[in-house]
Amino acid sequence: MTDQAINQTPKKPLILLIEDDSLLIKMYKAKFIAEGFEVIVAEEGESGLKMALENPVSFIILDVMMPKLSGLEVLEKLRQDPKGKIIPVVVLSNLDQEEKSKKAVQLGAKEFLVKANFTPAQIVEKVRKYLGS
Amino acid sequence: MERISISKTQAAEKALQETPIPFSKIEVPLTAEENLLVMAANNKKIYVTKDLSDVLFPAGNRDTWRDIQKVCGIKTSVVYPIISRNRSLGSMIFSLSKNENEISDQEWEVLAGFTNAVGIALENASLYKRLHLANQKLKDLDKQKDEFISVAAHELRAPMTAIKGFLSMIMEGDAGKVNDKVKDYLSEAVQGNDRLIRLVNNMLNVARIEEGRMVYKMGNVNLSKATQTVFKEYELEAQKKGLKISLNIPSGLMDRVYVDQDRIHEVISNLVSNAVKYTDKGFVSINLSQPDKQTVKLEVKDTGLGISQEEQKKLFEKFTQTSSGAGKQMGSGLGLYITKLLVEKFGGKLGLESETAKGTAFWFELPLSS
Repeated sequence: MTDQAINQTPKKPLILLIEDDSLLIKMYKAKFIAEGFEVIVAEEGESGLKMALENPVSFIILDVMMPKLSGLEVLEKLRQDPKGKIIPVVVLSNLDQEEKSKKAVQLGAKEFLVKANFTPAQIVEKVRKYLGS
Repeated sequence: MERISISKTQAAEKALQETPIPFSKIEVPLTAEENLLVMAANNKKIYVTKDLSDVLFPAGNRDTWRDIQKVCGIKTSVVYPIISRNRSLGSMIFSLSKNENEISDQEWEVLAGFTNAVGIALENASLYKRLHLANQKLKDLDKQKDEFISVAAHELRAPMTAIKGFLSMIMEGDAGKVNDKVKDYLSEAVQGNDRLIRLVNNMLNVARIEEGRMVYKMGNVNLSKATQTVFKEYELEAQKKGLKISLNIPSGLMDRVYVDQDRIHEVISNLVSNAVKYTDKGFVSINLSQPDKQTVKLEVKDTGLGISQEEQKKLFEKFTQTSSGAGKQMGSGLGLYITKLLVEKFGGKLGLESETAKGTAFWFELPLSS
């Protein structure tokens, strides 16, 4: 492959998955890669926030219950950063507390979804929709 | 024994002023076997004495009590046991300004009656306290139960998400080509897992509705439209089973209701999906009507198994299923309970008419929004 060819390949959107359950990491990562995305993973909130600000991230999939920094705290901090606040976020959780869901949307999340109610393919579809591709 | 109460008479107040030991500190050990308070309580007998120190010694010293007796003009002290249900709760002291032989029969009766009343009051107070404690304990247990359900449900969801996700990925061919038989088996596994997820969702919803934590997005909803949406969702499933399914909306029907759109969808879905699930042949018909000017009614009629009178009574309770239904299809026994809670939340009522082997008609009525 020549340099020319590499440059012509459309760049894959980079997904940042912030999630602490190893099974779910494996699952979402596999699906997004199979669907033509690039994926980086943070297993807790603090490093997730750092990775969001240091990488050319196109989309963030954010868990709520995590060690160190909760998903909503990550979202809040992300919104205070000029670079971070433009990254679209979908919050995925297995807690479906209305207050949390409301808070997430107030903080600018596209949606608050209960993980168990969606297949990985449906999540990919949502991400594609929000990325406009 | 300790003193817990004294009458609010002038004489009693005077005695209190004279007493060198604070009232609440006058304590008599139960081992003081010659003390009349202890004797009355132990022997369940009435004692009469001319010497007040017989009643209170070994608290303080005898001379102090004799001085007080003189100052207050007490001639006789009567000690009654306070008895309730054959058990001594304590003793009463009556200090009188007359000699024993001057006390009339009527006065004796008053003393006995008063002591009895105190016994009943004390017993009631202690029962109330025990009841209160028991009640508190039940409330704590109930809260623990709710917390347990909530935690368990959330903990169940993570592995169920993984099962659902990986199964769906295999079925979609992400792990390679899948033959039809494998696909068929996987789809059974997916359905089983989805049922678990629904059960958990229902359990969490019940907890939220019952605790008043459910947030409702109330608004005006067109009931015909909401019903049409549900009808379309189940039309194919019913036809696949060979059932006729119909939706009947009379023209000019008033159907605007003030409800939560998603929840009313859940209510209608529950009724229609039950009808389709439990009917093997015949029809399912969904009928909207207006029983009066303020009310709209939705009825879901089927030619299914029917529900016996006995089972109808328990149908809307939590975790209840009809015996015939439970064997046929596995549900959580929560659907109708939630349906009822929601319909009532929206100011309506839910009911049914059914005959075994002929069919069932579930209906709800909602007030029209003004």
